[in-house]
Amino acid sequence: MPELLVPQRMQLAKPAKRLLWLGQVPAYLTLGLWTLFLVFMVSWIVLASLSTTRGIFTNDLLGHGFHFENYSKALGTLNMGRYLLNTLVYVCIALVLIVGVSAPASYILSRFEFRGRRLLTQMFVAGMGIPGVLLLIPLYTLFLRLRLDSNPLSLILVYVGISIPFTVFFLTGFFSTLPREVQEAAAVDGCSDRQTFWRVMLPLAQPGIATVTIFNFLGLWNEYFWALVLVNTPEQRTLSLGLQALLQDMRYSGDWAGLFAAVVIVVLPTIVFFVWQSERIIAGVTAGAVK
Amino acid sequence: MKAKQWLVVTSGVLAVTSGLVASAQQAKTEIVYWSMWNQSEPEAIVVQKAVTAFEAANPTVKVNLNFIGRDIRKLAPAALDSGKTIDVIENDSGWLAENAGKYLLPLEGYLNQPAVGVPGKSVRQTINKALLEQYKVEGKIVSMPYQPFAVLFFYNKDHFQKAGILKEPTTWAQLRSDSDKLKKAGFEPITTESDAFQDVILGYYVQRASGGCDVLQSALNDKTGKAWSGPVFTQMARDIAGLASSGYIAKGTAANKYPAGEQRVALGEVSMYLNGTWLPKEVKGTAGPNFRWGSFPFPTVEGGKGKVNDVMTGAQAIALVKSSKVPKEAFNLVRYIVSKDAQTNMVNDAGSPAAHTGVTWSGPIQEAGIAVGKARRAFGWACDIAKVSEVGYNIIIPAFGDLLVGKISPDQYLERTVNESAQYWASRK
Amino acid sequence: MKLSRSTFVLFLTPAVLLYALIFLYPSLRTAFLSLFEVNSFSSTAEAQFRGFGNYRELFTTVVFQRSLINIALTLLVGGMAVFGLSFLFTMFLTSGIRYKSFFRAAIFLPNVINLVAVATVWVQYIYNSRYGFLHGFFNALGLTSLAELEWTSNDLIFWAMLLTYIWVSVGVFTLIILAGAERIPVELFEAARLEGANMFQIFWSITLPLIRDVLRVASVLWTIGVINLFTLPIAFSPVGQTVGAYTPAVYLYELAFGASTGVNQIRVGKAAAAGMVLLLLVLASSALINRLFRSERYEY
Repeated sequence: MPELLVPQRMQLAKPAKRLLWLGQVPAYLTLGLWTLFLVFMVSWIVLASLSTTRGIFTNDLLGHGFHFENYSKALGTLNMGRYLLNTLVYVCIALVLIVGVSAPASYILSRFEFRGRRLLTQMFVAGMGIPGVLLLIPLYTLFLRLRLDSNPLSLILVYVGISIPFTVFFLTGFFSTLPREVQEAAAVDGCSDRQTFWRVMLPLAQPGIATVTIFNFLGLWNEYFWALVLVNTPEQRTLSLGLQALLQDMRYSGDWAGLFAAVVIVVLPTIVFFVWQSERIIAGVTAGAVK
Repeated sequence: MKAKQWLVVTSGVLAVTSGLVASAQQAKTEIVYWSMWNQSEPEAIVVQKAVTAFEAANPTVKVNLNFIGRDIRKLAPAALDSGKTIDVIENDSGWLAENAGKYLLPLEGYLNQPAVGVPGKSVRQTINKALLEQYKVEGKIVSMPYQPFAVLFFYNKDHFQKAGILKEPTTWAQLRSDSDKLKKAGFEPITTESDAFQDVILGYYVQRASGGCDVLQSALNDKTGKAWSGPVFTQMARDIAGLASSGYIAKGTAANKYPAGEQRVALGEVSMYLNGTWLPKEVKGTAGPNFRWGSFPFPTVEGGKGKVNDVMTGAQAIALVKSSKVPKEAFNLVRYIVSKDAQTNMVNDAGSPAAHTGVTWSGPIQEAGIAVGKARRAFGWACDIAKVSEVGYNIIIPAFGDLLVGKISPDQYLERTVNESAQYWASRK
Repeated sequence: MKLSRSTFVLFLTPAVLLYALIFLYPSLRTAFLSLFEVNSFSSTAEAQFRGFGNYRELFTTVVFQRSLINIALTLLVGGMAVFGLSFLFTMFLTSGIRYKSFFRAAIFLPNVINLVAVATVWVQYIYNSRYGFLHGFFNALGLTSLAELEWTSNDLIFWAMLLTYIWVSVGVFTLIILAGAERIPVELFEAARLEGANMFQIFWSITLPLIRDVLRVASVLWTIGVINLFTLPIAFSPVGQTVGAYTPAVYLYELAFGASTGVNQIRVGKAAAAGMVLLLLVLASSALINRLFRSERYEY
C-alpha cells in the first residue's frame, strides 16, 4: 500500500505546491504587516529615548540630534545596582521555594487517586482567577499588624503564595504525561514513595519545572504592587519600584526623553531574555495549554 | 579550671562591652521620615540637604529618610492605622487635614520656637500666614507648608505682544476679548488636559461668582442634586460654553492626556493655561530658555463677589504624627526643612515657590509670587471639590469637561449634573 | 504504587497551608469586610454593619455599572477580535509558510514589553490626533474624518484601550491555539489538501473541532484576564482615572487606597464588596465555560 501511495503523492506534489504558494500570499502579507508595525513601535521607543522632550511632542524625533545623555542620566539616577541585587535575591529564592512547595503537591494530585483530589485540584486552579487587588487589603493589614511589613521575607512568602495556583496547574498537567512504568519500576527496585519522587520523577520533570520557572520569573521580575507595600525602603526596593519612582520623577520634571531611556533600560533585559529563551517559553505556553 | 575562669571573665567582658556599645548606639534617637518625593526629584535633593544640615547640628539624632514617592497617599493611612512607627510625613496640606488629620499632632505649641536662619523670629513668623492657617483640624494647625503652589493663568508674553494685548485681563469680558485677539493673531487661546486641571477652572469660577467655596460644598452634599442648577452654576455653564462656541478652546483639548496640553503651551502653539506654579518647571525642556512666561489671576465674573486677589493656593506640607515618641526632635527637623536656606534652595534649585516670608519666588514664577503676596483670601484646590470626590470627580468634572470642549450644551450640563448626583445619593441610602 | 500517609501529608501540606494564607484568609476577610461601612483597613472599631448595603450601593453606582459594561464589552468584542486574529494567525502559521518561528516570536513580543511603556507610546503617540501614527495613516489613505478622531478623549478612550489590549493579548492566545493545532497529525491535513481543500476549509472543518479542549482553556484564561483587568487602565490614565475607562478592579483599588487627585474618600467596605463581586464573576464564568465545553475526546 505505501508503495502505491508514494509515487501518487510525488506526482501531485508539484502542481499542488504552486497553488499552495499562491494561497499563502495573504498569510505573508498579514504577518508581514503585523511584524512591521511591531518593529515600528519598538523603533519609536528607542528613537524617543535618544531624542528630546520637545522632539517627542512635535513628532520630530532626532530633529535635534542624538542625545545619549538621556541614558547616562537615567542610569545615574536609577539606583540600579542595589535594586537589581534585591530583585535577583527575592525572585531567585521565591522561584526555588515555589518549586519546592508546588512540585510535591502536583505530583500527588496528578498521580494518585484519593477522595477530595478533584476538589483540591480545582481549588488550586481557582486561585489563578482571584483578583490580586482583593488580596492586597487583608494581607497588607495582616502583615502590618504582625510587624512583618518592610520585610523581604514577607514579600518572598507572598510571591511564593501567589505563584502556587499557576505552578500547580502547570505541573499537574506535566506530571500526568510522565510514564507510569518508570514509577512502578522504581517501586519494584525497592524505593519508598519519597525516594521515587526525589530520585526518579523529579528529574524526569525537569523540562516542565524549567519552563514554569521561566514563566514565574517573568511574572515576578516586573511585579509592582506587592513590592510597593512590603519592601518600600531604600535598602529593600526592587527594580520595578525604582523604575516607577524614576518615571514619576521624569514625568514631574517633564523629561519624557529620559523616561523612555529608563523604559528601554528596564525593558531591554526582558526582550533579550525572551529572544534567548523564546523557544522554551513558547514550548511552555503550548505545553501548559495542551495537557 | 583556669580555662573555665578565663571563659567566664571573657564572656563577662564581652557582655559588658556589647551592652555599652548597644546603649551608645541607642543614644542616637531615630526619626522616621516618610517623604512624598522620589529620590531623584529636585525637591528631594533640597530635602536631603536640609536633613543633612539638621543631623550636623544635632549629632545625637539620626533621620531615617525614606523617599516613598507619590504613593505615600496610598500607603501612609494604612500604615499609621496599624500603629507602624512613622514620626514625620508630608503631602498636600488639604489631604493631610482631611485624610490623615486624625493621625497628626497639632503644632500650636511648637510654632513659637525660633526659626532657623532668621535670628529673632519664631517659626510662625517666618511662614506665610494664609498657608499656615488654610487647613485646620478642629481649629488647630497640623501641618507646616513648605512648598506652596498657586493656580493662575500662565501665558506666553510673546503671544500677547503679537496680538496687541497691552494689559492682562481682569474681567471675564476682557478674557474673552483678549482670546479673540489671540485667535485673530493665529494662536489658540486656551487649553487644558482631559484628565487634569479641568477642576480648577470650575473651582475658580464658582469662587469668583459666589465669593467663596460654600456654594460648591453645599451642592456637593445636596442629596436632591437640585443645587447644581442654581444661579451660580447656570451662569457658569453659559460662560464656559461661550468659550467653546467662540472657538477659544484649543482644538484637540478633549484628547489631551497630560502633559500634552502643557507641552503645546511650551511649544508656542497655545497662549494661556490655568495651571499651578509648577507649569514652567514641568515644561522647561520643551519651552527653552527664551520662553517669556507671564501669569495673571483668574478674572472676576459678571455680578460675582470674588475678587482678583482671592487666590487658589495650597502647599505640600510636612506634619508630625501624633503617636510619635520623639515629637520634640521631629519638630526640630521640621524647623530645618522650613529654614531660610532650605527654602532658598527650594526656589533656586527646584524652581519651586517657597512658603518662607523672607524668600522671594524668582524666575518664571516671580509674577505669581507677587500676586500671592497681595492675596487677600486663600482657598483650596478646585474649591475643595474633592471632599466629596465620588460626586465631584466621577460626575461633575467629566460633565464639565464635555461642556468645556463644546460637546454638550449648558442645559444638558445642568440636567446631567443634577440627575447623576441625585442618582448617586439615592444609591447610598 | 503505595503512598504512605506521612508522604501524602508532607507533600501536600505546605502548598495547602500557603494557599490558605494567601487566598482563603483574604477572601474570607474581604467577604466579612464587605458587610460593613468602614474607613480603615485594620480597625473595625468604627465600622457600621450594613448587611448587603454595600452591594446594593455598588450596583446602583453609575461608575461601577459602567465598569461592568466595560468588561462585558471587552470580553465579547475584545474576545471576538483576539480569538478571530488568533485563528487567522494559526491558520497562516500552519499553512506551511517559511520563517514560522520568526513570525511566532513577533506575534508574542508585545506581551513581553513593559505595559507602562506600551500604554505611553499608544496614548502619547499612536492615538495622538494631531501628529500621531493613526492620524498620519488615515490621512495617507484619504480618510480624513477618521484621521481627526480624538481617540484619547473621554468618549473614545475605552475603545482606544480595548484596541491596545487586543494588540497586547493576541500573542498569548495565538500561541495557545497554535499549540493545539500543531498536535493534529499532519496526515489529516495532507489528506485534505490532496482532496483540494484550501486553507480556510481545512481550518474550519478539521482544526477547529479538534482543538476544542484547547479552546476551553483559552476561553477561561481570557475571561479571567478580562474580569481582573487592572494594570492597563491604570497605565492608560496615570494622572487621573478617566471615568470612561474604569474597570471594576481599578474602582476597587481607588475605593480602598484613595484616588490620585485631591482629597479622597476611602471606603474599604464598598471596596471589599467590589472584590467579592469580581471573585463571584470569575468563579461563575469559569464554571459556565467548563459546562459549555463539555469535553468530547476525539480519538486521532
